[in-house]
Amino acid sequence: MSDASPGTVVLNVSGLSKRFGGLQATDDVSFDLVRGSIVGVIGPNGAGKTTLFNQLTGFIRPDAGSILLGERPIIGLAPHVICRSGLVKTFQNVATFGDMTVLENATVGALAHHPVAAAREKAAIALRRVGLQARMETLAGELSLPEKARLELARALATEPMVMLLDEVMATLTPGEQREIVEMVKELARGGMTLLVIEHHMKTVMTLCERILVLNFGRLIASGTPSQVASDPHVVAAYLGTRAASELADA
Amino acid sequence: MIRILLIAVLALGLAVLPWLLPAQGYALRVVCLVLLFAAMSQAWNIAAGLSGQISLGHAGFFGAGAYTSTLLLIHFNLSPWLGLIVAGLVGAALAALISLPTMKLKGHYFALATLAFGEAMRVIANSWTSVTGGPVGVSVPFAEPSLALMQFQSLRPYFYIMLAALIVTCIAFQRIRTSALGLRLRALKNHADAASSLGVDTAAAKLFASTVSGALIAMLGVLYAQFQFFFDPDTAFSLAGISIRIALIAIIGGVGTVSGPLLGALLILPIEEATNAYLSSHAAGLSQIVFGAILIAVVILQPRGLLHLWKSRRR
Amino acid sequence: MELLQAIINGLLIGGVYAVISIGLTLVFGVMSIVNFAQAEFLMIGMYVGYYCWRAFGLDPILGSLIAFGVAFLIGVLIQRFLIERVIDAPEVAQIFLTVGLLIVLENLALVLFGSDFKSVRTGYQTSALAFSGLIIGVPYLFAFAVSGVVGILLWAFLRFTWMGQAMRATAQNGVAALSLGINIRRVRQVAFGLGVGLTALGGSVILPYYTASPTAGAQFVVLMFTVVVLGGLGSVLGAVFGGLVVGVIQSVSTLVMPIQLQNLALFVVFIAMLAVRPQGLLSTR
Repeated sequence: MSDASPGTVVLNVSGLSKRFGGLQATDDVSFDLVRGSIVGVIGPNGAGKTTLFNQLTGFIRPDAGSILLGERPIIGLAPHVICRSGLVKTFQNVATFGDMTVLENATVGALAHHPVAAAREKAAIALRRVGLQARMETLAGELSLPEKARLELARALATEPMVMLLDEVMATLTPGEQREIVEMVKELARGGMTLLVIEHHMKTVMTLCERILVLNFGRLIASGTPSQVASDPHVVAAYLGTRAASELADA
Repeated sequence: MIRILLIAVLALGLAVLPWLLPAQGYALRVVCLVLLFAAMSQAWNIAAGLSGQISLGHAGFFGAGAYTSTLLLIHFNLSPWLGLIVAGLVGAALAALISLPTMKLKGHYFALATLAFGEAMRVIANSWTSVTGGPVGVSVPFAEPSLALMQFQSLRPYFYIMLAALIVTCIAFQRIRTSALGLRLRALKNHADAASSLGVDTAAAKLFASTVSGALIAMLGVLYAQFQFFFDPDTAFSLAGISIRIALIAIIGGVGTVSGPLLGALLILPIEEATNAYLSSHAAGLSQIVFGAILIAVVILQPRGLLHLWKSRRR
Repeated sequence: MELLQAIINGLLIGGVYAVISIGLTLVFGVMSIVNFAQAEFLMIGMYVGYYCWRAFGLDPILGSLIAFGVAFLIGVLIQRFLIERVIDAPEVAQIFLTVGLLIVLENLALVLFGSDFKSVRTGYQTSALAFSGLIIGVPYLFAFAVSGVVGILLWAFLRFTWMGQAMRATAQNGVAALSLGINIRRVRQVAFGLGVGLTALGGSVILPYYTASPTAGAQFVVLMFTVVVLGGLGSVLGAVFGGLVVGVIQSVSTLVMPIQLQNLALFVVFIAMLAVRPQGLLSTR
């Protein structure tokens, strides 16, 4: 699943477009993800980031364009098939399976590729990686928010993906907790994982990601290294007047 | 050690119970029905309890099973034991058939669709007189007590049959709950989209659970037919008497757990029988009013309580 | 020609189906609750109409107004003391509340009125108009006419009266309605009362050609839900459309299928709608 050599493109998005009624939510978006890279997706509210993620995971069908996971075209495939092919997304906090234990949550992910006994072991390993090994028998509903964020990661990791989409994992975390997650994500990338990250917290995005895609009104208006993007006039214009603009300037 | 002892005592008690009660008495009859409805609730629990989809149409499978085996017995002299197998297949097929179009429905819509299914079966059975005998109902022909034909004069053999059925459904529930399917169902009950994103084929999981549930319920319908010797469409496909009752038993006892249906049946059925016995001498339908009123009262007094009962308790 | 006759008949009963089902959709639109007991109010309407006829010789068409009134009052009370308590409760609770109501109402009727069938006798029951080869049964015509009038009145109510507009506002967005100063609790009471009242009215109106019994309502459950789902749960216009379509489907299917399969036809339509287009045929979503 993750045996592509460094430098290969694991996700290729080309000409992706989606319209809802009068709104062009995704407008001819194209980009590549190289193995082991951490790429951020930023943009003002309503820019189309979530819609993009939903098209990658198969919950929304694009009107036009193509998505290649490895060599495989994945448009039109059901979400669970896309997951088993190697692309997984984390949800924001409320998507953990509250009535199930932490271990059971992660096991569900591992079931994507293993029968139940082996899946439990793989799940335990994933939980150890995110530091939740002491909480395995706790009900997910009783976890604290940062623990839930880590569970999201572990669950997704258990599906043994090639590409992980992180949807605002940092949203409710303290700066200290954020630093931990950032370290974890960097370690995953060093191990060969490819990550696409949506974040609103500019500082985190700038330190975590080696490359940033900027969306506005569904279009990709800029793409480059953090410093390139921060000084791009189009990007600054898009964020003009928002707090994010000053964060960009400071980054 | 104590646990094993308790279980042994319980098992012994159960084995001996029918011999402590009059062979054709009312008490034993109630006990048999408690066992049967507990088994039915457990079968309902397999689909609804684990995946969270409230079906109000299980009577459709139940009645289909009862009619299938009885008609085969009447027309082809087929033993109800074999009739069980045919009924199971019929139940499975119907469940799969219903499961497909209702796959994407949630909450009220799903309950509605399943209710319509149960009602449709009832109406069809009532109007298809040439096959089902219509509203008049159907009698299981009784010649003499016979194991091969699953019919007895004494209630005691029925007790063991119902008990076996209950044990089978409980085992089925446990096996599924602890399996990969069980984990997947519970996941999709919590958050269907998250489950999908993690690789769970929610449609396949629901279909499978639904099919097993439907098959089991249909087979229990056969047992019912052989026990009661007579049934009609309004009873076998009854919305209140079957579909709602088994759902309620599971929910009150604790849905999603293996003990829930047992507790629920032990609680609800004797109370119902008592009110029935007390009230139906006054007027038909009075006990049902009490049943409905209790249902309303439970919901009103603890609407969160039903949810509290609804979310699976840790096993 | 037979087909035309079937279509005409279908439209005539369809109009009544529409009135009967409008209440269901109204309740769902305003409160997002599927009232599983709705069909029982049809039965209540039938009994009110019947007893008004028995006691005062009142024609069931006129009796339907009284049926409306009685059901409206009962509905408001039920909404105020029962339904309102589960407005924000989980769906499980809501479903079982109205299901419990269904059980209580049906058996209450059984206890109070007995299980025998009751029918009215009116002067025009068996008469029919002949019209260039087509036969139009008078009771059906009257029922359709009444339905039409009621439908127009309802439309006017929703369009032009304050309460009607408040109802539509609440159906669209309860929170916004609150902020406009609308007492949504009162709106819900009226909506529920109105909804079950209309269904009861329909029950009385069909008495000339349908007998009353405690289980009469149950016969209409699937039908009502089919009507409402066809037109889109929550859409009043949809219920009208759905009613007519269901009436025609039912009527036309008598030409090609035995009665057992007719019910099946309806059910298949219902399930197909839920599966393929749960928002209804008319919805633009």
